[in-house]
Amino acid sequence: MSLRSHFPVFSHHPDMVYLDSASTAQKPSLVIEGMKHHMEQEYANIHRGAYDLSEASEVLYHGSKEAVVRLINARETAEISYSYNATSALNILVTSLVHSGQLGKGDKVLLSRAEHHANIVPWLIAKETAGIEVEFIGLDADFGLDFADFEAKLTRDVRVVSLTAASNVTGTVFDLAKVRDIIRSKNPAILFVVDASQAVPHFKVDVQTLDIDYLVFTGHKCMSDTGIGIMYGKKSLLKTLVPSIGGGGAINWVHEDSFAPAGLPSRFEPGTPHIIGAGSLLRAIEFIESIGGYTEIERIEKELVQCTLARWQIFKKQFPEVRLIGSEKEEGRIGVFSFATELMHISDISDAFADRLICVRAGHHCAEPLMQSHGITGSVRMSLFLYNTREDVNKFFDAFEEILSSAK
Amino acid sequence: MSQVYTETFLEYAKNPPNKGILEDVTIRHFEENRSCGDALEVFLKLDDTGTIEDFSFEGNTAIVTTACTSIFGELIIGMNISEILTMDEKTVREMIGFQVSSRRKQASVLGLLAVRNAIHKYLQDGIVDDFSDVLSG
Repeated sequence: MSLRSHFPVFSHHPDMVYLDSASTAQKPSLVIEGMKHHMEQEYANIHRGAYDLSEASEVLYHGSKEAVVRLINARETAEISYSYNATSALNILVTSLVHSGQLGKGDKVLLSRAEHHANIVPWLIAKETAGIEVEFIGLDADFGLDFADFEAKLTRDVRVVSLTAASNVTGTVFDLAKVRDIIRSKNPAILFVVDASQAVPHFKVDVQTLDIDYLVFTGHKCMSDTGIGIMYGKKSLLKTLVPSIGGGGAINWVHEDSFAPAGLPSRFEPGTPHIIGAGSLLRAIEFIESIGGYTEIERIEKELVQCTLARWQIFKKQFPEVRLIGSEKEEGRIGVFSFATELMHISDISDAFADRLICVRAGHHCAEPLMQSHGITGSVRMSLFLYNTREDVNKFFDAFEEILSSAK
Repeated sequence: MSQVYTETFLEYAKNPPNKGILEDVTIRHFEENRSCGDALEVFLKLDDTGTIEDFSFEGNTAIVTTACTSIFGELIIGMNISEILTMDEKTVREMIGFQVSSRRKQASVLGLLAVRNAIHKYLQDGIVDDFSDVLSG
């Protein structure tokens, strides 16, 4: 049975086909009602409040971090800090690495050509401000990491390897276990950073098994409210990371001429956090656990991927002018599919889908280096999640056929 | 909600009369709307007083961008470049005769933005306009 009934948006828009979860996920009742309950009955500021409401709010806030620890197999909540989204988490990490003196002139950072701008631009800014070097690892024919290129570029001056766990354009899941093995055999001191924004909603990313040093992801793609970005770091590393941001709540003491940062993780959380958002993340993770966890999510999505690839095989014969920017293999991918064509402008295609109440996204998807490496400026992307059905996939392809037939 | 375009608008989108590379061009400028995948180059021929004698554009553009740019380009012929620098989305709305949907606003003014920046380049005034300079709100 479909999980759609847990999501009120589908009652309000019964004819809508939502295929843009790579952009943001819809919210289950548990999250929506949880936020309402929090605001109505348990809301106050956290940290140092002596009254019941504050304690209740604190329980939710801390509880959300305990849930994140379970989700990614971190060791303790001190390893989890919140910011606004994965992009802000990466910006804080990069600037803090520079501020701590752990990254500086001549140090090299390796990224992949499939990265989201969130995992490119902060490093390019550090290139301007701190003189680091940034190099891009190529992709193989199946849009996975080109490991030969990776090993060739893993030179002595590499200080950080920062990679997405799954591409928001091709859907390819990178073999991070292999990346771990190569990094640790080459130079155990290299920082292994992972952008798990497109992975955590779909499959387990175990930070201990993968020996990840820092990881970021964003709550709203996992069905929480927007405004919650998660940064995980190994405690031993976080202890050495001097925060590049500061303010109230992130300090032990402040004098007119000096200050001492707080302990972990507070030193990375200046100001009032998104308390309600943290509570919504707790509910979102509880929802995942209630439906059977990643086992169930992967089962649902495997079927949807199979259905999509089967329809694609038929579709591409009818429309050879359309390219799938991604692998046609079922293994090693999530349900993100991007299509490029000269037949019609991608904006007009996505408009035509919207006219048919099908929600897809057109553009470069914040992955311009990937687009440029394939000679395109943009694609039409459909992305699947646990609430989608085979019917959604079929409606997508039926509409796509109709739209492109009118252009031929 | 889908927007229904007039036949005239769609004809401009399908067969824009001023699409192509202008020869004997005074200024040309490339502009992009990265979020929609639109990119175009505008070509302007000016006389000594800064009056626009001819206009054309080239590029891979969606229906709204193509039609709005083409209609805009036709209507600015005979105008002085100083007038163009005061134009914004309201001007384009008046030119095309209707309000585009909010998700197509940037597409509708891409041609205008390109021409404004072409003129800034010609005047060498150091100004670079972006969408916030031509969109209201």
